[in-house]
Amino acid sequence: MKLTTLFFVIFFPLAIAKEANHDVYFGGNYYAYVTGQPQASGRIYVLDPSGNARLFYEDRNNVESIHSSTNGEFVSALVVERISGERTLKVLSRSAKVLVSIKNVYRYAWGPLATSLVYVTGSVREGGRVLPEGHLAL
Amino acid sequence: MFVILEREKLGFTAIDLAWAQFDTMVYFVNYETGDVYQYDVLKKRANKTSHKGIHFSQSGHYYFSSNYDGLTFGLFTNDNTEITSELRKIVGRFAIEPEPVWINQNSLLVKVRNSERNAKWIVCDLRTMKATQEVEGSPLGITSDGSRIAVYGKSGVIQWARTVDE
Repeated sequence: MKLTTLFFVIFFPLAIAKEANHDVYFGGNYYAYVTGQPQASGRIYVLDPSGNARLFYEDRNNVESIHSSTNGEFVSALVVERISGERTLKVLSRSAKVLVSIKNVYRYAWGPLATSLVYVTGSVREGGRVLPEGHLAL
Repeated sequence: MFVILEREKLGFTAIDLAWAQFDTMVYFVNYETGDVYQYDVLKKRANKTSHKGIHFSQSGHYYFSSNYDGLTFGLFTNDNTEITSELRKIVGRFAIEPEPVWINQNSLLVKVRNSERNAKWIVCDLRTMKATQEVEGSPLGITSDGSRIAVYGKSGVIQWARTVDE
């Protein structure tokens, strides 16, 4: 068992921030992320090895989904602006700095290498239906 | 490396996609036909496959299909034998939600539901076709060794659940 994992086992359970809700998504490695309510601002929390749920990133728009790269070096978040229908992929560093912001992304996935990211662009028509545009980038 | 495969080069619109760990290939779905394609990143070549889904287990022995709007679900072996019914035997009277999560080499964390309010997560070992653990609440993340899942419970407290009995 790795030391970081051991920390988690020792310090759990813990109380999470009140504004976090049940919309939770898988992160990778030792991180977990929680977003805010749909229609609210998007928030991502990190459960750090000391056992605290720390606000990692906040966006005025909705955060629809979140992932981390295979080694946990980067965090990606798909942010949805529901009014305009725009879907933006943001890749964040561990310090929550936005490294890349790509508009019009529909689906994305991290590759086996932490720096490898693949995504498909698409747009969202009124009503939320996704219309793919056919770009696969990596 | 930055490559863009535009619709004109592929000849179709790519939609859902996943990057497989076992062979490092990118798998994606043709939006018009539903066919699954495999993209070799190094050779920069896309080939049509006979697979019916793109989400492979870490071992590559299994995969599941889940269409882009998340309404359907199917579980297959790598040789395209459907084993969804065997998975349904594990979960019993519960309905399988369409977007499970791979953990470990051959285990699937499946969300199941038997009513609007009653849902739970079950860890299914596909080698033995047995449930190894049931998880109440919402999974948040998993340790890198795949042994434990952090779960956000109804009381607002995060706890660990083991993926296998110890």
